[in-house]
Amino acid sequence: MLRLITVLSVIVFSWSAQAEIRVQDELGELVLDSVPQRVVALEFSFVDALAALGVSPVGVADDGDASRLIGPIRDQLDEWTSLGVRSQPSLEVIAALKPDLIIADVERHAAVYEDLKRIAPTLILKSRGETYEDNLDAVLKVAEAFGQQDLMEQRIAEHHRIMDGYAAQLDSDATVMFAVSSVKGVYMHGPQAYAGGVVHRLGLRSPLPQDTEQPYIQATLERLVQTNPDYLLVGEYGDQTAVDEFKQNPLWSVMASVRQDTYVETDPRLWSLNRGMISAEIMAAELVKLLSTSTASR
Amino acid sequence: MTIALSAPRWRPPVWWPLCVMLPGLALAFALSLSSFSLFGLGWMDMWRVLIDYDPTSIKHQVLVSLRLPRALVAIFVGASLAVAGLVMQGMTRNELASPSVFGVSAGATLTFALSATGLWPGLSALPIVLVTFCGAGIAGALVFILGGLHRAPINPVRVVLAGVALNFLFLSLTRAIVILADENAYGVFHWLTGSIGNATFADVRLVIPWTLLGLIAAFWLSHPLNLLRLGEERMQNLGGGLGRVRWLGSLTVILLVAAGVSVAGPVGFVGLMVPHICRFIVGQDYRLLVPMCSLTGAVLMLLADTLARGLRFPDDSPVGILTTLLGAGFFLVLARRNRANVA
Amino acid sequence: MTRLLCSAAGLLATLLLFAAWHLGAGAVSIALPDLWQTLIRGHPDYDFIFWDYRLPRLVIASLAGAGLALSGLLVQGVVRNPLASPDILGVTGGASLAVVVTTLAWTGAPVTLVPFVALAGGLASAGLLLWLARSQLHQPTSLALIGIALAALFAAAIDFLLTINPLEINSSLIWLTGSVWGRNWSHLPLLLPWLAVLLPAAVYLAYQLDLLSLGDDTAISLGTRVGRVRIAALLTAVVLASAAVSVCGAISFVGLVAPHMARFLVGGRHVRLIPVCLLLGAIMLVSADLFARILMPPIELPAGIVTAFIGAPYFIFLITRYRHW
Repeated sequence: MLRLITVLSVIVFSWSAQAEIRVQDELGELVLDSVPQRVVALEFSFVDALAALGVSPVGVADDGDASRLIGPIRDQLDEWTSLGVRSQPSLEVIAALKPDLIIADVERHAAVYEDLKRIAPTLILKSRGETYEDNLDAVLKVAEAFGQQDLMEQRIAEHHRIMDGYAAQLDSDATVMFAVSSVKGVYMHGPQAYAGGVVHRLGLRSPLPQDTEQPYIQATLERLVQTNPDYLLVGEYGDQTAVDEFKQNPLWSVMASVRQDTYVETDPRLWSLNRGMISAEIMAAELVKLLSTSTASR
Repeated sequence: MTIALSAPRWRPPVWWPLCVMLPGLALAFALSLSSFSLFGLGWMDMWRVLIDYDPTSIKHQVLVSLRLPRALVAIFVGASLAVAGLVMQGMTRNELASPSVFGVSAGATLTFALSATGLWPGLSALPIVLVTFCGAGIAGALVFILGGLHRAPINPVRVVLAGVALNFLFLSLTRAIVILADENAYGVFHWLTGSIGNATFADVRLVIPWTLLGLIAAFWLSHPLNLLRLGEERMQNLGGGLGRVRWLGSLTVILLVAAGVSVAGPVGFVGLMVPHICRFIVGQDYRLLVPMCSLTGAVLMLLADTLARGLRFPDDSPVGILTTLLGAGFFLVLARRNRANVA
Repeated sequence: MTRLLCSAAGLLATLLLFAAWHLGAGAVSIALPDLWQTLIRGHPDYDFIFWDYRLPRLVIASLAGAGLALSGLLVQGVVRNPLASPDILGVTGGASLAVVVTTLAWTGAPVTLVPFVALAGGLASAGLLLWLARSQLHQPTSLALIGIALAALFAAAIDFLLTINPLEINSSLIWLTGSVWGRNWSHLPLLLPWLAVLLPAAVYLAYQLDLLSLGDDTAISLGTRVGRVRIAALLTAVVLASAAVSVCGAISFVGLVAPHMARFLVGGRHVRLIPVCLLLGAIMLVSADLFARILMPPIELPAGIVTAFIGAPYFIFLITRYRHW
């Protein structure tokens, strides 16, 4: 009888201990009573992580435009409610959705962290300005919140296998750079930015020194020309942006990437907005295609 | 008994500062072209461009297609804003008058923003100088009415307050437009402080004719403005044609401001500082002041732009940042002297 | 007197109307009966939105708007020019500069520190103004001029610092634009005490300010200590504006337009103007915040932008009609 009670109590204790989930995040510790069912994500990188876990968020801060999330991620998810812009998401809509987990960006949402916690338990992680490695750490934390670390570790291991495969195909020491062109100007993504991290992961180099601290660096045409990467990828936000003016200048055609036809216009949503394993793999595939076609054409 | 007669002491001609300023301008021009470049430009490179231009050389290209239009725009925008400030100060007899303080630049920027962002559909089809001209004109008219310039006695501080209020108004509206237009706000956004970083030859072709026109008109006005200094009644008695001078003067100011803002945005305080500096050097004669202000304004813009390039080298900074910082300090000194009535 | 009562009653009704609208409208609409129920008994769906989100915003917007309006009234009374506003004293600029400098110098600064830094900045800039203008305190116009120059200098310094060290999108930058987003009950103690203490002070000064408007000589002959009244009124205005700005950031036009509208309604006597001004300021900011939320849901504009759009044309309209200066 005593043994039965002991066994039963051990089972009960371990069951309840497992039911409570604890995750260390950027501002403290998150405690959840059970696996979250209704999740709200306030940045795109978290949505990538949720897609890998097969969880559909009920609300996403998507800047009012669902198409900002790339197709491959959107296809895996059900429809969600828009929460507004990432910098100032609507707390009302979040509350109305009655979530049981909110995933927020420590850089943007620290100011309203207390408010968010009043609505639902909040996991606050790095997102904006994160490096490639930071992103993988954050993704693991998201998985922890669902008690699915093992699944995520498997997925990450597979991701590494895929990326190693691409890296092997890319055997080159060319310099590759991604830049964003918007109304505010042209911003190069340095080695500390996510895109720079992916490039480095694939064994390619950035034309900027590795110890450049800033993730996003504003570029005048002169600076861009001086940086002169072998492969230049530019993502444009909008029709008429800064890079269009650059193109009209004779100095534009002096750049190696323009002369060798290795200048490519690409999707900024892929390369900058949607940071995550899925995006990284698609980025790698794009790079492989770019480098192989250009070497083939020479 | 000898009568010692001494020969009259030789005095330098009145226009000697101009002779000093011209080579000064050339120097500033050269400095602006070559300094703070990632490619290490120097005097030899500039010389080579003149005698043996090589379109495939990066250094030559940088000088000709990036630096040259930028320096030219700086010269003409500096001249136009400085002379606009000079004429404003002469007409309102207020030593604090300037296109940025009185909100005239801000008005031009607002209409530019409306046109460039496409928020007002019909406006984009009109030539840009016309758009900024209307904006500057509306702002000028509003300052005129709000500041009570149409009624004597003119209270100089009231005019400044009106200008400041309007400036703030236009600036807020411009910011709001930039936020609303979001992705269509190219060209307006990094312009809110005034910048010539992306100047092209199209900009040069735009600014030169209108600036020259305005400068000629200002020079023509120098005699009437000299008379105006004596007082409005005296001027009428001397047959000065006060009304005509007022109209022409206003149009000149608006034209010069429109030309400058179309290309560089609301660069602040150039029109405030330069007339004061020039008055200190050449005195109060407008026939000397107009050319002197043009040259000094040009030099100031060139130097400020060069410094702006070096501020966060290798990143570029808007030139308006420096002129506004310098000018606001200048403004503070003037305000403390409490001499809102100009001589 | 009847004019005052009618205006006050009308404005109060308008404020309540906007308040109800503010509480009910937004990305999530709450119908009137539901509002009432949430107020009385609580409602599981709307409790957070009502009690933790909209109601604190409403209260803070009202108080900040009222504070800014009162501050504007005092400044206009001292400078004796209806185009003056708290901004020309350099208060907003000083507060913003303090916030920017602190954020840049101390990157790990807790967000809760911002309002205190702003308050300190506003007060410091007022002190600077008074010191710079110490020889010209008897000339309100000179004071205004120096204030304008100071404001311009602060704005230039902020632009300069932000250019060298771009803050990009974070809480400080949003604060600088002037917004009521993310303001909750914890911000109330930063605002309410100042208002509670300074409102009686303003009422006390009101009569003195009326005398001032008769002209310095007349006022002195009637026993007014002109210099002291000026300084007291300015300090009151500065603290009010600093408190409002420290919570909501740089909100434009309320301090400029509200006193105008008030004068339009009840004339020029300061004692009458005060309650009307308070109500108008509250209405302006509440309605601005309301429109900021409902124009493009779920995207929220900063309230400071909306006040520019509302205040600007009204400012022009009022100015062309107002003849009393």
